[in-house]
Amino acid sequence: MKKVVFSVIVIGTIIISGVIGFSNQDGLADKKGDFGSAILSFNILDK
Amino acid sequence: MEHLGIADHLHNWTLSIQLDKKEAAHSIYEKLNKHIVEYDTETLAAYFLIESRYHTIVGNLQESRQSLAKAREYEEIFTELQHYKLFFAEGFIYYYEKQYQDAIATLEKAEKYMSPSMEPAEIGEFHLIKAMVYYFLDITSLSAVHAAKAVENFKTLEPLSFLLARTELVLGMNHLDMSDYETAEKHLLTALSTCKKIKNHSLLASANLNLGVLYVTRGLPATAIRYLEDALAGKQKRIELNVLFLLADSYWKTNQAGKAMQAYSEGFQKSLDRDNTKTKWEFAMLHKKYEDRDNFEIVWKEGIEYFRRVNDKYNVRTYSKELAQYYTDKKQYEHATTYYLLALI
Repeated sequence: MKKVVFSVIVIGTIIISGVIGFSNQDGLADKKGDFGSAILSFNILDK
Repeated sequence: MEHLGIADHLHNWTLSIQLDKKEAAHSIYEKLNKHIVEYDTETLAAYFLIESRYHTIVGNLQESRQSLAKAREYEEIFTELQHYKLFFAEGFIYYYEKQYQDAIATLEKAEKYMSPSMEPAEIGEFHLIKAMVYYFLDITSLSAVHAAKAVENFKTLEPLSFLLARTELVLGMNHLDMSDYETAEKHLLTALSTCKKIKNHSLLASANLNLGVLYVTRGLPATAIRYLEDALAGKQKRIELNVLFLLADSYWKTNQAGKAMQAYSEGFQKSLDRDNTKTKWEFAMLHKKYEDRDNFEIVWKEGIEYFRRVNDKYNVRTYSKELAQYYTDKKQYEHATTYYLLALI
């Protein structure tokens, strides 16, 4: 079942890891989408 | 190396890393690394944190982790910002190891050390990585919140278009999860356009893959094929198996059995070569769905059992739902109920 957290979008730091109820490491979504390789810096070609 | 010059070298090294100038970063790394025994503790703390980030951009996550372990030896003298960088880097590594729960826990530790004086790029990338983690945790609402915060920070500076494009990808996939296909398409096409403009081939392949996922989900396999073929042409090993899987599925749906078998065979073989049992089952189940219907039920049951054993709940849900529908269509309601219940885990 899809997990949606409705009530915790408030101002400031929100500690989610301790309250979400599906902390099993292997039981998480393995979706087909992708957001790029392990490079997070901004790209010189765009300057 | 002059001791007085080390701070400048560290600064230049950081800039090279941020600008993704790998050759310059490597050159500075080699110079600094030779003189490591001469550094005082403050310099060593800064050095190992930057070294971790350097190893990340050249794709050595294991070495990045080792640098963080060395940095931790100086944790007592860390500044607030160094604490932030340590936890952020750890969270980043967990993300790429697909340990999303650990990633969130570590990023929450990093968040405690964030300061408004940090640069927009740094604040934005924190929210971006958190949005990416929440996407894979299937918590769409929080992924969207952090993606929006990332956009706020990235949109202020032109050189951050690369990161803005990555954020557009996250927003697009969030809207896809909410079945808001038009908005999803808008974000993904914007990201695609930016990737082309900045000639970032790696992210371009990801954008094409995500558009493929969108059109497969919308039931438009012919449109999906166009983007998936482009994604495959991008030759990104990281996403190759996902692309081949969706391509095989789309070819079968559009009655191109020859091409489908080719994509399936390549994906199945590469799953074996890479010892990836999960994708091996996914390809095997796809093949039984379209080509070998006599063995469909037995292989799908075994596949779902495998996913249950390794606690891959996402795949248990996905495949159980489809198998339940199959049994419903065949009026085998007892079997259907079993798999509908499994689809709810």
